[in-house]
Amino acid sequence: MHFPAADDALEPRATPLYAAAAGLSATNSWTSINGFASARVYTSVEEEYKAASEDAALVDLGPMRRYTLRGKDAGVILSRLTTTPVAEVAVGESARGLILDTDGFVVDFADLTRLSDDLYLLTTATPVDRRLQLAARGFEAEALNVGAMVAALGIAGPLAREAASAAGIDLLSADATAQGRVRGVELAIRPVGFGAAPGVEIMCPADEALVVFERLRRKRPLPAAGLEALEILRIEGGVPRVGVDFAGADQAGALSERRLPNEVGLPHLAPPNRAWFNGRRAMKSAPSSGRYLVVLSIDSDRAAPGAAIYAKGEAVGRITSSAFSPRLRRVVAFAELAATALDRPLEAAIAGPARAPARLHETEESRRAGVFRENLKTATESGRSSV
Amino acid sequence: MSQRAAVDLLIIGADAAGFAAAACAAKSGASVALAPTGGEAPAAGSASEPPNFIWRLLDLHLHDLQSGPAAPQTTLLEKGALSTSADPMRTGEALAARDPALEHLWPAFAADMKRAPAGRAPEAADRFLSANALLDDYFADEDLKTHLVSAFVAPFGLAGDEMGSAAALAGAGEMAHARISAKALFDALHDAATKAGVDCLSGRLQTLVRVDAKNWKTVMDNGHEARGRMAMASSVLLGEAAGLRVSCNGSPLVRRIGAEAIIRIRYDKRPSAAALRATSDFFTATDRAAILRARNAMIDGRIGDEPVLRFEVSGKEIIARAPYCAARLRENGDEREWTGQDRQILGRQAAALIEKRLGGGLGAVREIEVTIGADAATGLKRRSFDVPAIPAPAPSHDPIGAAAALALEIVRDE
Amino acid sequence: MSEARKYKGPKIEGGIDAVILGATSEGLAAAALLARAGFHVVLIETPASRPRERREFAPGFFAESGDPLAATLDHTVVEALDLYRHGLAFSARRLETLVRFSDGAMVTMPGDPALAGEAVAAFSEVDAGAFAAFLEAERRTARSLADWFAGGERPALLDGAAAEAATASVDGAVAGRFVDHRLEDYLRAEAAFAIGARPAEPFTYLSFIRRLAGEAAGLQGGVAAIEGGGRGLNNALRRACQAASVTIRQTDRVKDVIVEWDRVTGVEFDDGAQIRAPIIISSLPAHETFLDLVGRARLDIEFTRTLDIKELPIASVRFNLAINGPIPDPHIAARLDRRFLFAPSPLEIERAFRAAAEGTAPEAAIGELVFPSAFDRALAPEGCASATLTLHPLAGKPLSDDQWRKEVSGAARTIFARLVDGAQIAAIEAEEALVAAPPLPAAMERRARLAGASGLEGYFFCGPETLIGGGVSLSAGRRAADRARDYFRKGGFS
Repeated sequence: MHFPAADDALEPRATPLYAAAAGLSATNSWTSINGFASARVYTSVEEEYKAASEDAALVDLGPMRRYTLRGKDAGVILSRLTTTPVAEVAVGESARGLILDTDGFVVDFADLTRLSDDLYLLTTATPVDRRLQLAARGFEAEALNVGAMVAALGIAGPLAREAASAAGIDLLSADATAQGRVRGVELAIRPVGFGAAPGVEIMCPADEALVVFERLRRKRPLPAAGLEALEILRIEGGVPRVGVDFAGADQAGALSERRLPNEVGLPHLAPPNRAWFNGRRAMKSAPSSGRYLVVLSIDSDRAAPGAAIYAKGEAVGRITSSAFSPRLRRVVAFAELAATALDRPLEAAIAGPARAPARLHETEESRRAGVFRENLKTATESGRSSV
Repeated sequence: MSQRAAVDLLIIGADAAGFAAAACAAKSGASVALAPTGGEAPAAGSASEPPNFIWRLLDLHLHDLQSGPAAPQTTLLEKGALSTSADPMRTGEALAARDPALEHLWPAFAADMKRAPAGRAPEAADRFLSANALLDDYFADEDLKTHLVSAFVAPFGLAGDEMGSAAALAGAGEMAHARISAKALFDALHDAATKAGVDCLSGRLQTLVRVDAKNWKTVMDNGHEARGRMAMASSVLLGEAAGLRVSCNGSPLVRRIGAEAIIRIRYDKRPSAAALRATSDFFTATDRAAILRARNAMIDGRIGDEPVLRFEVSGKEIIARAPYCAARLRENGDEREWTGQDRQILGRQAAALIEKRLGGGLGAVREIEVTIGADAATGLKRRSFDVPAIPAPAPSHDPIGAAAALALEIVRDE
Repeated sequence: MSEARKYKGPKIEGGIDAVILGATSEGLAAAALLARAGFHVVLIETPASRPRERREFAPGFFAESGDPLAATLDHTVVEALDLYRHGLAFSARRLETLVRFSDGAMVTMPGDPALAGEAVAAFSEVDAGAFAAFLEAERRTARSLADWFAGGERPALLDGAAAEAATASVDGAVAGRFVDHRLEDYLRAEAAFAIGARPAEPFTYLSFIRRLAGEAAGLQGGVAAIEGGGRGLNNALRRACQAASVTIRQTDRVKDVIVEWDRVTGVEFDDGAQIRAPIIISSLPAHETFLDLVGRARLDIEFTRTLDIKELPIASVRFNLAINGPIPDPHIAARLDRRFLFAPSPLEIERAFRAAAEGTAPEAAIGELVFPSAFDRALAPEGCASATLTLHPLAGKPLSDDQWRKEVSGAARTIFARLVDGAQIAAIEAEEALVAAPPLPAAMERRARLAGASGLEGYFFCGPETLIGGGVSLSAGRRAADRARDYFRKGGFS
């Protein structure tokens, strides 16, 4: 789960869980994501981070964009629109992917869950209503924006599943989506990631959100994790953020701001040798901008977004987002670097003329990307198509 | 008679856009002269705020301009009204009552239209689309499409079926400029220009000629002359109406035929109706076919059955503008000018339509004054192909900002 | 003789380098060019693309199908395929055009545009110099843009200061230039012919330039009458194909194009048989080429969006008329082997566009008239004449609609009567309706976009949507063949 960049809505609206979240907020620190009020910090960033990385913490996932597709061609539409291998997703399973534009550049993340034979749930960070309208044209399926009707509550942390089970909401398996009832409320639960931490997402009708919330909190009063704490986990996990680390192709101001999947560190989410998707042909032949997003660990207590990264005194990039990791006791940051600098010793500007050493930090995503690139290289060299 | 030294920039057109352009250029250090053409329409009603860069350059905060809040656009259809405002989310929520999908499709449309002019490839497919084709591609709701054409395309004198007219929809979801009195704005810009040292020529422009293959010379009807190294017009329409060759580097939004009529309807008391309680830019149009019919009547040289209007309330007056007005009327194959009777017919038509759409009860009409604006086709009748064309800003929803930006570009390129 | 047998044979056929879909002029040209370059080419002639035989549309009167005139024939193709040797001939080159105006006045434009000044002097002396100068300047511009029109790079000169020209309208370019307004009507009629936008709308000026850039029979801007009409050109192309060993097959519908990963690998027929080939060139309409044969599920979203955006509902309709007896009008009858153009007034053109938008028949329209019987006596009985009249703009309704066919035939009679006084029309047939192309910059953009074929490798398009303006050109076929050849040589597929 990865929120997009905050927006500057003057009057953010309330998510279905707002009342509950507000009750848990001691600092009253909010921002607006997709026009919805989202807590930045509930109690303290360290506490929330600790809970989310070692225990379990609640996350209000209301601001995410959700769509359902229902009909004969729902799978075909999604297969075209997203890079997820839809045909391979069985009922109850989820898959992660990207949405690319016709030139192969990343528009947004796409999280797909198959709820039944002809019913799919699509979750994205930014609104993709128009793209969905165009993708569905000429096919037999109905696409609906269900954001207003669905409440989504996330539990982040290694003990998330236990916390859900304790409330009577069980996952069938590590991957599958389960549907069940809690106190008469129909809901669905599925595994999702929160960067470096695993977790689950519980979806239920919007007007029942508080019932489910109460149920979860009754067994054990779980703390809530705000955006700041989730940021640390996100960067540690290597998941770039749309609108912050890179511009989504539909929001980019200039054509040159768009990025390919490989350039944001996610080539494994857009495999060119599986199912066809919008933009695949262009992606394969698109020229690279020569800049790549990587995660750095910086030996410093703070390093601000926008700060320059140097290699041998020469500026080779800049930080796009950063956070202090209480676990590593140093800053972890996403940075956009020139391709040539990736194997050189790096330094980050921290304050004034001061610089601190920075190293490439391996994350779950970068590990997957590395494996994917290796496989692709072997496959291409041996002339076979890879899986 | 009197000869002045050559200025850096000659601006033709003493309307608000002309004064803004002149003042900005003068503040940037250039010497500027401004020549009225005589075709400028008097400032009436309210106008939208100029963009921030003009406020900064001209210190407009020193003038008491009293901005009101940004007004939404409301089209009064036959059955009901439809509004869009500069807040995409609010507008989306309001439109959801008509069609739930619009709640999210509208903000997507607004964002696309905002992005349209900047940064995209010049040959992109949408550049040639008509507004109607673009709207049909996004929306199914006919009333919404009627509203968008009447509010954003009609002010250019276009009806939505012309190639390239989709460009008029740029900014359709986001026009957020606060409203100020057009007269106050005009006075402020005039004042700023004078204080900045702009030479406001007296009289009306008679001709603009090229001298020494390098300079321009304006000859006014009172014999005054002024010379300038560069020249520009404050708008394409004003320049062509004055008989000049004007170029805006190619814009499909240039009005090519007809004129805009300004209809001032004065009532005994301040008009009040349910719809008028909230400030808004009001539009009247029945549907897109009616808009095309009105445009066709303009081409034919007739007064159509139902004018397409844009109006606002100002004190005891309603100021309405009819964009599809024939510049000259054609009867029995002959062209003739507008008579007082013709104007009254148009004026009464407009008053009746407004009254009907507002639900009646506006009170007695004291007086109706109708002015027919500049003929867009003047430029096609008097051509001097050997004289180079002077630049003018491309038609847009922000004519003052565009004119000022062009003037700054011209003087900075020096 | 070309192979014309029902295809029956092995399920999957290989060893073929290129499959061409559609025996249109562009398709035949592409096939012949590739075959001459050494490729093994199979051309699939679908039922819709089969040209009609010379047919008797009225007792004793015959008509060839297709456009009898050529104004934009690509000379590199004509030379590369040696089409003259294969039977391409012109009944007349450098056709003179007699222009008739709305008020009945006439002017004769010479076949060689360079001599236009003299002709105009006879009509309106004061405008002769200006007209000649204007035409010469425009022809120069046209020459400099000819490569772009034929499918080359967009020239930089159209950006910046000359951007005005790219957006200008025909009206904007010609209005007010001449004292006699009728000269504007003539230019407007030439420019607006076969273009789906009013002459007052932006972007139409470049269509006018395109008209002047076309070359036929070695003369820029000239018009020639092809011997045998459209079918004559088609036959010459077929013979060129045979000479180059192209296999032409008549078959049932192609069901779809086989796509593997991101490249095309062959075609499949309704009965399940397949032909495997790395190159497919389609001269079928875009809708069929992409949406039917490939399917939306395999095409980029932005690409299919542009295919969905509704086309202009404007068409040009070609009529064949049987004229009984001699032509009474002495101006016309003096020489029937010319081109005749009816140039209506701006208001009449506006009304015609309006009628087209509403779906009714107009009172007046631009009309281009030739008498094929003047070039080929066999087409009409002794002492009579056959005429081909093309009207523009008309609503793009199908001619299969009886009521509509009657209405437009009535319009054709009216225009014919205004052009040719007093002729006796024995019969009239509405032969074909051709969808009008958008003004040139839009048509160029559309062509470039469709040529991309949504990124499908090996799939090349030269269908009717690659036409820039009216008239067959063969440029699209040539470009498709060139790109297919480059693609093949780059290799990378087994």
